[in-house]
Amino acid sequence: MNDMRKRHMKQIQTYAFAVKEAVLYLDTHPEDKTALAYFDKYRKLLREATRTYEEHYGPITADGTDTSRGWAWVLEPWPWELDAN
Amino acid sequence: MWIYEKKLQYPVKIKNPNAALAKIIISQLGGPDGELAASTRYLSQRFSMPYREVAGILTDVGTEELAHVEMISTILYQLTRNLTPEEIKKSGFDTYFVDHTTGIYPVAAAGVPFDAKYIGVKGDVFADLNEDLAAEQKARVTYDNLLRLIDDPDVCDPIRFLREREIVHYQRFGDALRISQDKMDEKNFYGWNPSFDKKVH
Repeated sequence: MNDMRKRHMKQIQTYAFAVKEAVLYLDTHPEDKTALAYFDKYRKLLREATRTYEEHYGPITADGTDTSRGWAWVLEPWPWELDAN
Repeated sequence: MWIYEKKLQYPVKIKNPNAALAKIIISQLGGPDGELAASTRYLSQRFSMPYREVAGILTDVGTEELAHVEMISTILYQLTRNLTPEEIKKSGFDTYFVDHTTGIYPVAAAGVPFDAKYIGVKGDVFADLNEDLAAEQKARVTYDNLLRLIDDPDVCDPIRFLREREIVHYQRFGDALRISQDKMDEKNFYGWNPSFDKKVH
């Protein structure tokens, strides 16, 4: 993976972390308006970053595969590979 | 159901293989307080939870634990790449290698295979949530012990991330316990099991 791609992946991981934290908090505070707004903000950023990554580099979910470039799902590195990090 | 996301929750990039470290870190995959036990425990307990908030936290923490199984497995995979037979013998990894080569198999540090005895499902919201609170603290202590034994910053970094998550999960399970206690009948606190008994007034 090139450096730009790794930077994009790091950005996705950062947004996904914020979303995950909000999800766990909201499970036990489902009426908390500040937490709901925080969740909305980072969910939007995560969705945009994921869409851009999938357009430029490759799928995050099998569902996000652009089939015009073949079945990239198995042609790109898996997350445990050194080169994917 | 679940959908796989082709990314780690937090990056793992270990420059130097080190089988001796893999031999101890593997306890957080297949040991008594490891990530496999955590995910199995929470994803099993949620079915008998009487409150949707509590079923929610068990579902979402249990799912995150699957991502931690993947991170620990990635650490093990990267630590055991390109090993020579001499390195395997010298590191003490030979006792694992003889049965599993460098495949990822869930065992504790002393070699005991993963066992469902490491988890509890009592079918009672208070018994189960108190088990979960203890489980998060035990996992945190295991990570503290690992950090005392590891001096490679590439390995310490993801281990510190995982340690922090145990503390956050402990907080969230504490919230779940408070919610559950608030819903109890104060005149008859532990007199009935909301997961099983029909409430009579």
